[in-house]
Amino acid sequence: MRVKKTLIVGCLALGLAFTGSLSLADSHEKQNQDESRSEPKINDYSSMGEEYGSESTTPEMEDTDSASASRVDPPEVTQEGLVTGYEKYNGNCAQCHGEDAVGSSFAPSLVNRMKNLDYAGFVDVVTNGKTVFDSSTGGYNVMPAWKGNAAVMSSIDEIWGYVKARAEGELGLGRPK
Amino acid sequence: MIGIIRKTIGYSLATAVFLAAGAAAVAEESKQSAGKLGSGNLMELAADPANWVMWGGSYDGQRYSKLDQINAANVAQLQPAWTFSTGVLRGHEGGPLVLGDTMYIHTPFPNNVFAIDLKTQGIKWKYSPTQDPSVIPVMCCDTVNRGLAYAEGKIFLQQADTTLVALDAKSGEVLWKTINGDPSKAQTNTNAPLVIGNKIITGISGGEFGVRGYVSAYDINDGKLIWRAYSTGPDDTMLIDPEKTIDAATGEPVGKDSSLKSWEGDQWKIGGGTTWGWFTYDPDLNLLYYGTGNPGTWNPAQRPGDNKWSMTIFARDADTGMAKWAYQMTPHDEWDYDGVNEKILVDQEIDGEMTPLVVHFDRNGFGYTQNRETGKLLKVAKYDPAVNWASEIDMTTGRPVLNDEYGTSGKVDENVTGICPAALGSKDQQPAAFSPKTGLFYVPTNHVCMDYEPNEVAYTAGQPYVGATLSMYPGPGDITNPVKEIEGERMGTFIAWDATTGKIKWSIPERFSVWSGALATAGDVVFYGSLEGHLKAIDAETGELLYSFKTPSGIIGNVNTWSFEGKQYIGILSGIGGWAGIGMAAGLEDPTAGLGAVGGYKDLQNYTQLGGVLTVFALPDSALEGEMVGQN
Repeated sequence: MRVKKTLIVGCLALGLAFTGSLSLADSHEKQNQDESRSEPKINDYSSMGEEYGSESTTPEMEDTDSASASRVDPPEVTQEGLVTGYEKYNGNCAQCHGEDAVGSSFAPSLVNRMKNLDYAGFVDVVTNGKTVFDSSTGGYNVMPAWKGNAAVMSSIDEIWGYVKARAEGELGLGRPK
Repeated sequence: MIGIIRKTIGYSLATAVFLAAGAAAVAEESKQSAGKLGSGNLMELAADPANWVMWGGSYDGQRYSKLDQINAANVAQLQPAWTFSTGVLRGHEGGPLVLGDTMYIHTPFPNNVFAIDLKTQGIKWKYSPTQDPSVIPVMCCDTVNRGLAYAEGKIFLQQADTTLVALDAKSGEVLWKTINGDPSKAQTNTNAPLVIGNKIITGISGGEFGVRGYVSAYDINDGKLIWRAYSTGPDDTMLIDPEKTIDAATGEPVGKDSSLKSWEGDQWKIGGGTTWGWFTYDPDLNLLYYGTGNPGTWNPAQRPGDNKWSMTIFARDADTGMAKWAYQMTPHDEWDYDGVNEKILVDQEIDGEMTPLVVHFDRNGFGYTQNRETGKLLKVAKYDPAVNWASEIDMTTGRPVLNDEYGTSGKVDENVTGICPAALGSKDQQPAAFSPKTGLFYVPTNHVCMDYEPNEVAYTAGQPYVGATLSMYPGPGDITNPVKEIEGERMGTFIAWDATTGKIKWSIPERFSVWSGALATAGDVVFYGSLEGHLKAIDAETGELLYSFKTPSGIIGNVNTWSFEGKQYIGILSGIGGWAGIGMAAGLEDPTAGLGAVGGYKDLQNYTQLGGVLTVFALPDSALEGEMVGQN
């Protein structure tokens, strides 16, 4: 009985080893194919239509990498500045961070996040972006770098003012009055 | 050698008899399926209700199954049969494909593909693309993917980074790759491709980044480009014939430079018209049907003119790509009402005459019934009574009769309030279903309105090009023939619609937008999923709720059905996200309230968190005594 059991377990193990892969005959053929064709054929049409490419209408951007080091004191933002911040936020940030900075299923609420982020940290992450890789799921969370976007960088203080005011409870929902 | 090993185990284990008997049945069915797999005839495979071989079930996009094992009398006994975790936590749109004994599942970014053995639910193979994560932030509305395509032993995946990949359906080996666009210019992909003959059709995304839209047809055998049609610009790039292509609004040829004349200067180059929706096809007319998205910036003042051919339904010759006719639903868009929703092909009687129709539920809140040969408008009516940006569509000019109070053009820095529908439309990508038995369409809708304020924006390649601030909130209480009481405010309605009369038959109010794709079956049952995560089955005639089950996360996927070894199955992906996952704070309470945003989104968080699971349902054996899977 014991011998038979060992045989069965051994066969079972072999069976399991085969279940998840191709049959012997198939895999041999596949190996031959693999050797003769190492890379799949790649057709690249990524630059098609460039002859009708459009020029940017935004002004030239200076290098803003140093922005994060230049000041740590948060700026004063006027009421008018908050309106600008609200508009710039909606045009660039809202599609991920949600209306009124409440977040979405794919980007965090800034109403929460800004409670713990100071001005220097805010400017750094907006300017330079941040990619976070979760090795347990293989998933990425990506905050893009906005340093090449003049519309955002020229109003970074106003955007700061808006999201900070939302986080502190100073600004309600909707357009600032 | 494998056969011998299996026999040895079979004789020895307790489940031997069951396995042996089951193996014989499976072998027979596999032989049938394998034969069909090799036949290469996609339409034959689609006609077999045991399969679900393309996004819409069949080329007409009706999302209707002839299976009737599950019916209105027994669906209350439905129960989960098995589940599968995709391992990804993002919005799960689309649905699984089933071919014979194999299911093919896709995921949001990073767009993994699994081939599942339906007998064991084990993974036959997995394809894990390597994609640069920098594509993620240029996808406006979550990193969704609307699904795979199958033809001739190949599985096709349209990746987010625009790479179109052909995989061997048996082994998962990569056969070829085609790079369809350039993410550094904010071109990405979310659509499900469609195979027609030797071609695979796919679109492009990026309307919120000024991407000029296009549709491409690639050869399924090597991925080479066969034709590409742009949505804006010179006639030859759009595959439009000025004398032959008909403008269905007027019934006249479109004329020379129909697009260029409707834009100022070079605006058409950043003119959107992206093509991220669903594709359908009429094999007799050999016409491909699809729609185009918004005309670039959301600030209409920056783009005077009709902005053709954004917001347009195109009927194109599948072989050459040439446009037979085109119809623009929303000229000079002021609200982001993308025209990409699925164009469903049905044959019904209109005013006593059997007519080949194309029916679609546009983002703009109007249900269009057109002759699909000519594009002629037959019936157009609001499929949500709250729609107010236009009072009707003028049937002689084909143009909307605008309500200036809710227009936003020329109102730069002016907040226009109370516009219905909101930018996400009376219906977004979530596809409807049609039942030839009831003659009704089953439509998952949004009931959301908005305040919209345009502002000036500049264009930078690869950067957002939006130009408006939005505030969205639940729509008013208007509802047509509700099947149950509304409890409080609502942001969604599931309706039954008669496209021959342009009327809502009945409405099911839902607390949140109904963002899932519907399914209709010959069992007189209709399925859909709620944003809180319930898979629901309703009576196709009355809308009465017959079954409901809370799946692990909010549903934005499409309900599909198939049969395997004599049993009918219902499958749905759960995983909240997509534009439905966007935070919407305003509406359910005082909009001037302070911290602790209340309203739509916060409420949704009380019902669901992120997830990524396929749940498969079937009737228990006790409900199936003496039954066979129906084939009609």
